[in-house]
Amino acid sequence: MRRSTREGFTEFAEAAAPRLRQTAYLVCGDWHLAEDLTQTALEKVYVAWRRVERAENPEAYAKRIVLNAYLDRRRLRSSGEVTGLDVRELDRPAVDDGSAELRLTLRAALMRLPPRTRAVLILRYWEDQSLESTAELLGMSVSAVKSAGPRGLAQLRDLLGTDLPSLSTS
Amino acid sequence: MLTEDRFKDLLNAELDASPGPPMPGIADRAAAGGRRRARHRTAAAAAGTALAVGILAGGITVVSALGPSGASVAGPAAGPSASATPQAATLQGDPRFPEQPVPDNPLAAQLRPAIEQLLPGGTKTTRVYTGSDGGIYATVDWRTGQGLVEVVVGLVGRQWFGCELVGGKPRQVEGNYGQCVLTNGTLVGTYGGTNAKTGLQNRRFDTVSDGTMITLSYANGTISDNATPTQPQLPLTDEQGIGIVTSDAWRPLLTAYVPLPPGPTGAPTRIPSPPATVDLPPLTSGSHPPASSPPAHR
Repeated sequence: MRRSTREGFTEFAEAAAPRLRQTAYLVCGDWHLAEDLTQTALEKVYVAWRRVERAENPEAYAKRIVLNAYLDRRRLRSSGEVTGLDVRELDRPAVDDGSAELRLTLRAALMRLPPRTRAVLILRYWEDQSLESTAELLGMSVSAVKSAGPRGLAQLRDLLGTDLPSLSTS
Repeated sequence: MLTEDRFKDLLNAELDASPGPPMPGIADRAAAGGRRRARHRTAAAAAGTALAVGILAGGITVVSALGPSGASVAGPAAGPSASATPQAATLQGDPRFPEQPVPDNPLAAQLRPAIEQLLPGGTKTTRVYTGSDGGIYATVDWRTGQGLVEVVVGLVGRQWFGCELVGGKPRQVEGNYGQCVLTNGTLVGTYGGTNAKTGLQNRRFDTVSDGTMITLSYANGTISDNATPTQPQLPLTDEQGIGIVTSDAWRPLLTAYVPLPPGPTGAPTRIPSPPATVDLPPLTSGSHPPASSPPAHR
C-alpha cells in the first residue's frame, strides 16, 4: 500500500473507530466485544481500502461489516445467550428520573430483543438512518425495516412495563 | 412513554455515562491485521490456484483418455463485489469526536525509552504516535526470544475508567466487565481474556494519575482479533503488567502531558481523582485475573 493510501486509511480508521464502536456497543452491549468488532471491520476495510476509499461513504461500508460480524457471530452462538449483560438487571427497582437505574433497565431490555430488531432500533432511532440506509446496512428489505422499528419499540415498552410504567404507557 | 426521541436520549445518556475504555492504536492494529488478512488471502489464492492447476492437469489426462466430450471449463474466481459498498447510507459526524486531526504531540517520543526500559530483555522496535483522542501512544514489537509479541502503552485524558474507590476498596463501575485492584495505593483496572478460536491471550491494565490515564495492553502475539499466538504464554505476568502501568517512570511524562479539553457537548470526564491515602489491603490473588505463567524474561 502506498504511503498516501496508508495515511488515508489511518486517518479514516482513527476518525471512524469511535463511532463504529459506539454503534457496536449499543447493538452488542459489551465494550470489549464492540472493540473486537470494530477492529475486525477496519481490518477488512484495510484489505479493500483502494476500492473502499473511492466509495461514496466508506464508514457505511465499515459499519455494515461491524453489524454483519455481530449478527453472524450471534447465529453461531447459542440462541439464549446474552452477551455482556446481566438480565437480572431487569429485576432491579427502577426510578424514572433519567438515572443510571433507568438506563440500565432500558439497556437490559434492549438486549432481550432479537439482535436484528435491536440493530434496526439503533440505526433508525439512535443514528437517524433512513429506512433505505438501514435496509442496506442490515441486508433487509425496506418493508421489513419499516415494520421492525415500531414493533421493536413496542416490544421494548412491553419489557419495560413492569419496571418503568411511565415509559410503557402514555 | 418510550418514544423514538426518548429512546435516543436514553442511549445518549448511556454513552455519556459510559463512553468506553480507550482504544490505543486502533488504526495501526487494524492495518497490521489487514496486512495479515491480505497475506492469508494471497496464500489461500495461491494454494487454490495450485490445486486448480493440479485438478486441471489431472482432468486433461483423463479427458485425453476419454475423448473430447468430457472437457470442463473452470470459471474465474469470484473477486470482491463492488456492489457490496452501500451507496444509499448517509452518516452524520458525531460532534463528540474531533472533526480535525489532532496534531502530533512531540512528547510521544519520550514514551519509547520509558517503555523499552520497563520491558525486560529481548529486542524491541517501537513506534510512537498521537491518537485521535489526543493520547500519546507507543507500540512495541517485542521479540522476547520465544516469539514476536505486541505491547501498546499510552497516556490519554478524557477516557472512561472502570474502577472507583468506595470506602477504600476498589469497585467496578457500571459497564466494566474487567476487574479492579488496589496495589501500593494505586487503583488499577484489569482486563484480559483468551480468544477461544485462536488461543490468543491478551491483557490490559489502566490506571489514572492526576487526570491522565496510563494504559498498557499486550498479548502473546500481535493485538488483533484474528492473530494467532506466537508464544505459549503472555510475555508478562499480571504483576509485571501492573508494575509497569504504575511505574514512577511515567511521572515526568504525566507532569508534561496536557490532555485534550472536554468535548463540545460537555460530556463529563470519567477520570476520578487520585485515590486518597488510606491503609491499603495487599493485592490478593483472588482480586485480579489469574496470574499467567512466568514470563519469558525478567
